[in-house]
Amino acid sequence: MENLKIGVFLSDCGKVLTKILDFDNIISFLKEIPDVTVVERGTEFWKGSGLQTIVKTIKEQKANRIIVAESLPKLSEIKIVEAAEAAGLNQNFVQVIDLKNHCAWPHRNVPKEATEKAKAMLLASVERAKILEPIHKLEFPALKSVLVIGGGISGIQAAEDLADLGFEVHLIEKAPFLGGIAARAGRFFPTDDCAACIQSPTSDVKTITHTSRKCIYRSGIAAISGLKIHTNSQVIKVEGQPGNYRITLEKKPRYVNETKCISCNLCSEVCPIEVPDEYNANLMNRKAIYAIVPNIYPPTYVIDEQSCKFHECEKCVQVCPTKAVELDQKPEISTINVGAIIVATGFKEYDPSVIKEYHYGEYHDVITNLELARMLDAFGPTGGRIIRPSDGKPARRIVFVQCVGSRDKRWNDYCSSICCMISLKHAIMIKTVFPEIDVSICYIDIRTTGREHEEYYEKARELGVKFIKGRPTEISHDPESNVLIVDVEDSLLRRFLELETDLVILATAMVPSEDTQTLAEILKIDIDKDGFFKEYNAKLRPTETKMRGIFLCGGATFPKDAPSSSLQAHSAALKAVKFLNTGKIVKDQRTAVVNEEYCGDCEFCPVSCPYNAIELVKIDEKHVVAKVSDLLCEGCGICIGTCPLNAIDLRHFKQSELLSQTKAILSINGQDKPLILAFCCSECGGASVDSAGMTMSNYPTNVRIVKVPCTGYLRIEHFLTAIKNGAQGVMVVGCMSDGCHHEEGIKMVEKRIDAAKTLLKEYGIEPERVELFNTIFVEGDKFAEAACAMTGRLEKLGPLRFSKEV
Amino acid sequence: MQKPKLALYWSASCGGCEIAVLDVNEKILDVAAAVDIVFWPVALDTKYKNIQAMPDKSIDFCFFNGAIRNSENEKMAKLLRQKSKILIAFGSCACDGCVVGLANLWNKESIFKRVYIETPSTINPASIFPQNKVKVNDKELELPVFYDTVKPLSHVVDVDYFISGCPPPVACIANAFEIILNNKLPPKGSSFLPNKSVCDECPREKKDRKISNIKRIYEIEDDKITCFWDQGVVCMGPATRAGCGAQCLKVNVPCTGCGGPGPQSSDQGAAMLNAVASVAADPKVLSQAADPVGTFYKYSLANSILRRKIKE
Repeated sequence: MENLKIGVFLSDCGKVLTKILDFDNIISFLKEIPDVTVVERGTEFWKGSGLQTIVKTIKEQKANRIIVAESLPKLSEIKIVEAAEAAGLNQNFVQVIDLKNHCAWPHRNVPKEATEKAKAMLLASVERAKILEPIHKLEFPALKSVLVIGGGISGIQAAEDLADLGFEVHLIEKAPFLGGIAARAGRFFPTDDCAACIQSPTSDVKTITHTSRKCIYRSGIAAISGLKIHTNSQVIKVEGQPGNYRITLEKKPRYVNETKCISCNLCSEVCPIEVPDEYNANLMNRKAIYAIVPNIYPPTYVIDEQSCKFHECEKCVQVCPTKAVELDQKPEISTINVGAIIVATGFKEYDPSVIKEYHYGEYHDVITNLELARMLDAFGPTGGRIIRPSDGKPARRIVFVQCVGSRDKRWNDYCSSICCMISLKHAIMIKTVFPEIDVSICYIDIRTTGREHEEYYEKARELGVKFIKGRPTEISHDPESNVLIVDVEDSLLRRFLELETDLVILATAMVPSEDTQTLAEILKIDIDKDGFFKEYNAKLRPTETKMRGIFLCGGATFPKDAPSSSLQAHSAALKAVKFLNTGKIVKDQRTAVVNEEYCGDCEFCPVSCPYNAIELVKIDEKHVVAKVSDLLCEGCGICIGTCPLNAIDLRHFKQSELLSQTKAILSINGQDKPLILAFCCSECGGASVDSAGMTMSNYPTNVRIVKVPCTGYLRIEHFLTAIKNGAQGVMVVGCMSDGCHHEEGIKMVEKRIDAAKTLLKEYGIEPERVELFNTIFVEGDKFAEAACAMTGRLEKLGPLRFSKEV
Repeated sequence: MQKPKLALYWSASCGGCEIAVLDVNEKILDVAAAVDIVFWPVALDTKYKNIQAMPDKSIDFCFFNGAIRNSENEKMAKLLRQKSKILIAFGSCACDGCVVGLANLWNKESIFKRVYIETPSTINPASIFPQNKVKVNDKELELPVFYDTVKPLSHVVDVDYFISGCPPPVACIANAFEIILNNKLPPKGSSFLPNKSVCDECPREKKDRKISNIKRIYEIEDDKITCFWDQGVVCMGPATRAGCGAQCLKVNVPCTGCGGPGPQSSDQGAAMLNAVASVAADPKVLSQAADPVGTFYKYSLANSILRRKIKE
């Protein structure tokens, strides 16, 4: 190994730091340390001549480890690392620390102590520099093809966007026809146009942008080159990794050949079997061979295998002019390779039959909003007439019931967000065409939060829709008059009402689509407490998951209206493009690595990894070891904190580096308060420490900071070692408990700290010597406060005294 | 060629390690034929002065079992270190302090008080404690000093190799003899036990690792197939060095950790707690564990990071 030559660069930030830190003292201290060959002082080192000094030191004086004390370390780090790499130094050999915000500013009232702490910080970096190892860049292939799961509004939009950009797209729909729940809705708010309207492909709108949306049947979607639509299909297996997935699809038999069918309807005419049409709310019958509506894609009939008699009948086979009916079709398994996956599986209506007091399923005239939508559709079962399903007579009185199964602790806590608007839209549609129909809406709160949404409410009122604030307690049925009675307390008028009505419309909750759980398991992505797919970050990454290469859009993450679904579809498509566009994935090998010699196959780490980056690999007949995927690993170190054999380490932050920093930073004291080691994460926790300095918050110099990639990296041993090496207390400063940048890290360390406290008690050490603090950037003052409070607490507890014998 | 000289010694231990040496069965005959046993208090009558008289480094291999509980243990450790070319910490007491080391939850004073005054079978109205020096017939006799803290061998002398276990697994002992006799010594500081954990040798099936409760073995109906952790029972296997062939697990008893910490681990109990805390459904799960030190540090308290309960 080449000899260590450590170059240290101290920025006095335009001399402002010299008023606090004794630079001469620090420099002579550094020069005494063996292996430190260059010590430079300047006003700034991340640009201009300062940066040139670093480059020169690397090139001419052959410095092979660089430590720079700069303000705004993250910003300057990027520039310094870039320059150092260009000069031939590995990125990991550069450390940038923040003497200004972590030392000078918060300790400006005690310059002598601050100088000693600065020395301790620099010594810690020097000790770490000695054992750093190079980090290399990795490259992985990325196929320019995308799987879109779900052929509703979001899936279609995303698929189109991607296909237009030249990506190969596979659009998978579980049902025999595209459209999803949106297509059944008939019309959308706030545009009041057809649900079956989609954006036209680029090829169709080269110049005339105002015709850029079309009915699905005339959109030419099937003709877009590069877009392959698989209906009646499901994903059954996903293998491989981001950029290169191998997907196994199962296509259920349609029994009608898609290339031969000409939609002449002869088959349906001769078919002797009639069953209730569930697509049309069971308000009409359909044949065993059918198409849902004429304007849908694909224009190919399908046989319902539950009701068809197949070879016993064969009438459709005989009549088909193109020999398209193939009764012996079998499920087909096929595989495709894609680089990314977009999940657009949407949501569904909650089944309100569990809510006994509303008697859905029992009283035929209690229906859901989606069922009403079918009635309102000109293609629907009643041709747009509003009837009582029980006797087919026109409905003259209608009562909507809002929040059915939502905002109700018994069923679903959340607000489904779109049901108010759906009911308003339906009420307006009814009132416009049939002004004589009496329409009432029983609501808890009307939520019209989008642009132009409130206008719907106003319009409904103008049209004479009655609003009753109250959740109905019971729906009963008078068999003699065939009338429903809705019991509701109008809480504004404080009156109990018994509303007689012909039809009750339940505005049911929207819940995750079937198979969401199964698909989540196949894709190894998370679902939230309500069962929807969980996005990586609701604020900034709403269409990404924690798995690189898997994206979300539309109602799959939560019930959404069409504009939001559409927006998300475009976003997901863009994210997929961003991910795959260059045809390769380049990343630093800042990853965990398992030492196979020591891995004991306990199988704890794969469970703790938030990225599913650890798999178990058989190395011989008897032995299985954990292996980390360099592509999937995000370098948080949660596995390091988990391994009971300490057989895992982070390439960019080895445990030995943490240990040497711990020892060094506690080895120089220079003050008389109890030493505290504050482990902070590199994200929110670290940012709050930075901002404590930026906001000039004071805290004492006994608080020493060591940054770790994520608090989930930390093990109980790290706390005990800090105590053993002179820390009287340990602070762990991380993100908010639901805001960890690595999902689980902060929760992991919280549990480990809890275990550590249990242990400390056994060791005769006060458990409050190790504490967790959750902070964010804007809470720098909170960090300073916590540091002061911890110091005060430790002073009260008195010093820890270890036996000399030990 | 001269036969290698072998010494075996016991300090603060139960004697089980001595039996384990004999458990290698007929292999002991090969060993006996291949070496000269120059010191073995359990079998040969040798005095301190005989050892002191030996030239330095004249013993080729010394197997030292037992922890350092008192000054005599330490004195013998130092003497044997001086006389031996290779010193091997043999058994859990010498390697990690073992059950003897659990005394580190107390100190000399509290142990003496308990043993010589408080135990129900003791009648000691004059509160007489063992003394370091005692006069008998005008002659002053010296007794070893009882320490506050139990230490593993490596805390008082430089140790070349380790064979942990309570007692060490017979196969590993036989293997160690074989390595030694064939002069294929591994790098200094190595263990003669495998580098893996007990899980590696355990036939039980690991499941989802979602631990929501910690139970004691009598509280479950063991299905005899599933990993104990997946049944909510503490098993030290994941944090314990292999070599035993998971023999306890094979008779449906969870591992208690006698193999000591893994090769990379500095603290067996903390290492196990990390893993369980990480997958535990609830932060409070671990507080259900009865007697945390006795459970997670049964064999390694004296060799843990903090080594003992700190004194007031």
